[in-house]
Amino acid sequence: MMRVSNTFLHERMLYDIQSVMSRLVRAQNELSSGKRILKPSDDPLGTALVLRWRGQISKMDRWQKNIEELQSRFEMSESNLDTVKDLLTRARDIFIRGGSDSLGPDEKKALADELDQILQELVNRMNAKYGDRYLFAGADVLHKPFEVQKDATGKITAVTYHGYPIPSRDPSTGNLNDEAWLPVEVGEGVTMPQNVPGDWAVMKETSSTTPSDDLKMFRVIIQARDALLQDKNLSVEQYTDANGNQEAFLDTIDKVLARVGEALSYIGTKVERLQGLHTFYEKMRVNYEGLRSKLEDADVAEVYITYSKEQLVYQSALKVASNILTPSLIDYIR
Amino acid sequence: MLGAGNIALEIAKRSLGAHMLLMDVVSHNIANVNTPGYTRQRGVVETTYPFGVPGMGYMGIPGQIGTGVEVKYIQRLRNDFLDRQFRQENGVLGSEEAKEGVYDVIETMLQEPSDIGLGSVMSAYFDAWQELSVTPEDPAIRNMVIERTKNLIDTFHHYANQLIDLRSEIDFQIGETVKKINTLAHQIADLNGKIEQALAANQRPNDLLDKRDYLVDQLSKLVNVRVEKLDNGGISLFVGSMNIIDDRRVNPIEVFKNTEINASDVSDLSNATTKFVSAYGNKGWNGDKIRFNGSPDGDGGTFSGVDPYNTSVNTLWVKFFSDSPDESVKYVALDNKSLRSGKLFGLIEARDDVIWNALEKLDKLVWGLVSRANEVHRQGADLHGNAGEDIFLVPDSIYTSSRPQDLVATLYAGDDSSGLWKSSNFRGIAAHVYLNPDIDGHPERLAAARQDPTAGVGSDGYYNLSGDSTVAVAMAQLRDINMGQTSITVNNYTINLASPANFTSDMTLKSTREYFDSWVSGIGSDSENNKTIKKNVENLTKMLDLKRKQESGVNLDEEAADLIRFQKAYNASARLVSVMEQVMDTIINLGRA
Repeated sequence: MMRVSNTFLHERMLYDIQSVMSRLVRAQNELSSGKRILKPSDDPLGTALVLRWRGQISKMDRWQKNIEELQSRFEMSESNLDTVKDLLTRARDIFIRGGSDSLGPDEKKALADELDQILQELVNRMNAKYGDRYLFAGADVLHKPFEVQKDATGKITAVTYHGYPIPSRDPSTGNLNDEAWLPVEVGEGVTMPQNVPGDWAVMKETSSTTPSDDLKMFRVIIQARDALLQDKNLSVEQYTDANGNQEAFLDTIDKVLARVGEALSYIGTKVERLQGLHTFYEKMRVNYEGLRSKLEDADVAEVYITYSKEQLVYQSALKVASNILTPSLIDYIR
Repeated sequence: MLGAGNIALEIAKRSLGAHMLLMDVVSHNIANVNTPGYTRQRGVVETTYPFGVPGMGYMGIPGQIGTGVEVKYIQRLRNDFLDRQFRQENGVLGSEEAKEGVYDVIETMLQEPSDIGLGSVMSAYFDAWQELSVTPEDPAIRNMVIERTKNLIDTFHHYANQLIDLRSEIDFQIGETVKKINTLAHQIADLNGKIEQALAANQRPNDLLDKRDYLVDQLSKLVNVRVEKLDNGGISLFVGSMNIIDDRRVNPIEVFKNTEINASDVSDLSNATTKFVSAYGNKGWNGDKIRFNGSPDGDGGTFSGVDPYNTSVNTLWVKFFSDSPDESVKYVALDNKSLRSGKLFGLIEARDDVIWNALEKLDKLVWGLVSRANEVHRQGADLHGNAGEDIFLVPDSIYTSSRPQDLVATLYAGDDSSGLWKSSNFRGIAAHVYLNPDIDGHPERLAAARQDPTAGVGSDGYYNLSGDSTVAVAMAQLRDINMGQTSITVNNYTINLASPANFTSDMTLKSTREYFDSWVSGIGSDSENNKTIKKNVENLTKMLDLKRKQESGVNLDEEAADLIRFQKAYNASARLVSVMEQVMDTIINLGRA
């Protein structure tokens, strides 16, 4: 038979009640905070994972914001370039009409005036701003990219590009090089250009970095306008580019239109890709959030059951203690 | 028949006395039912020596006659083996409890996982660079980057200072613990004297023994002690090989700030550094933590270098009286072979292992983050087209360079042979890094764009590449790029970084984020480990203590039963006296009737 002393009984009881109490407090903390991991030591491995998921989630939130910003910027560019396309289509019509033999000098002058209007609007569009930044200025967003030169009568004689040319790319040729263009991160190591470069969109004809009159979009309209003013036939006259090569006006403006179309479809694919990424991150965020929550957040139902159970144990321990600790043989000595 | 009545009366008297004494013992037990450290006592009763020795003058009684009862001695019911076991585990409990307190503070400080700890402050900093990469020319966002950077630096300072404060707090606690150890040692030595006196007078000093055992119990939680019993009833206590109580004499432990101790008072100075290292447990310590007024090789010079943490490093020495074997030695360092458990050991481990490692990791994290950030930033161009400056600086009064990326990690690279404070290492950087004042308040000086000599500056003074975000993206990518990586390529622009030879191996293969995560979860698992051990030892100690109490504790029922037993016997003896009185009466009145 085990010998039991009063101190033993008392301390044992106290110790047990305290262990129940500490479990009760733990459950209470989990319930009131809603968290399973309150300190790293509650689950070190879980903490490491939670930190990782949290990091992923915050990065995705950041990418989402970047994507949204890029989207609205691209949309702004798109609407400007749409207008540019419409203007150029109108100019093309004028080119066709200006190639007709039946037109007199006055009618040609009227066409030239219309071209002048289109020219000015084109320059405005290409100098469009988004907030404080010029959309088509390349990296030089603080400076107006397209400057016009006018003669004494206020007629535009040349348009020059002052924006910064895309590094390591010849704007007169080839496709846009995604990699070389104002990067914004939209994924792990994945960057996306912020916009289409203006010099590319207007078909800069030389690789010169100093601003010069070598922008096909504006040159062709200026030359056509001047030809019409001189009562010349646009189907006979030839366009001369900055390198001295000659080409039919209609062919030239078709090329410019094609470039604008290319820019628009470039933007279209970017916006589509951004939209896809956005949706992807939304889904992934839910997944990561789920993983995080599973580790970090308390399973309230389960914790509550534990809590009720511990409470029951606690109460019965108290009851037993109050019964056991009072009587002893001393009470029965008269 | 002769004298029979006299003997019976004498027996009854002895019985009355013995049972009175037994009831005294019972009362003492009952009175001390709640006294901590009390051991229940029991009177051991024996028959007294019988009357009538066989011999020539033998009077012819039919045998030896009993002469009654006496209480031979009062026994103390205690098991020495349980004591030893209990004290051993109690020491471990003491050290684990001390560490638990420190882990709790550090974990509270970390505030992870949550939205408010250093982790999210770092996230916010890198996010700011991301945001800048979207609109690099916007002054509002540039300001935000600077504010987030300041917040990051403040958080680094806050964390480092909390750890450093915690360390000073532990210094204080070490001092207090040593004081308590010495007080207990003096009390025990004092009791040794009283116990020896009592024993010499052939008494059983049960209560004094209880008191002494209880004091040793308390001491065992503070420091690991080994008890050696002496023949005269005294005890000697050893901490490892150090004799802190030698019977009635105490060799107190003393703590010194390293600047306070005189080299000539210390034993074996040539080994002072290594002794010191071992005095503090082996991990996390290098010799630089001790600086005597004289150097170990005895050339009388002082160690140079500025310790940005704390110069008040304590060391523990056992002070010996001048009659110790080596006359010239006053102090002997308490080495780690001697110190194995107890609160003192736990505090030292917490200070020099737990907190030290946490600080070291924090410093490495900060060092890796700020030096890489500086390197990238220097290769960018600001809004005016100028090359970026260092964002983060350290005071060159403390370090060899004001540029964190130029600091060298000599100390942590395992160079503990010289063991001195290296003013050229990065230690303390978390507490001392600050924002370059050239950048503070000058958001335009943040370099978000690439450097391109062909791009000029406009007539308004603004860089023609002000919309470029290449370097801002690289700054943001530092979050996930291994600290040891030697280049970052954003699109076609490559930023070369210095060789990571400066970084320690645990840094090079981790990004700042990974380093932080593993720091946090590392502290978590150390803390969990500590809690598990503590819980087990706590259980074990409790069980051992209860087992002791099972045997040594007072049971009121038992005492009550004894009381009834002894009372009955006492009553019976008293009755005997009155019967004998009648017998005597009969004899005295024989002739009268």
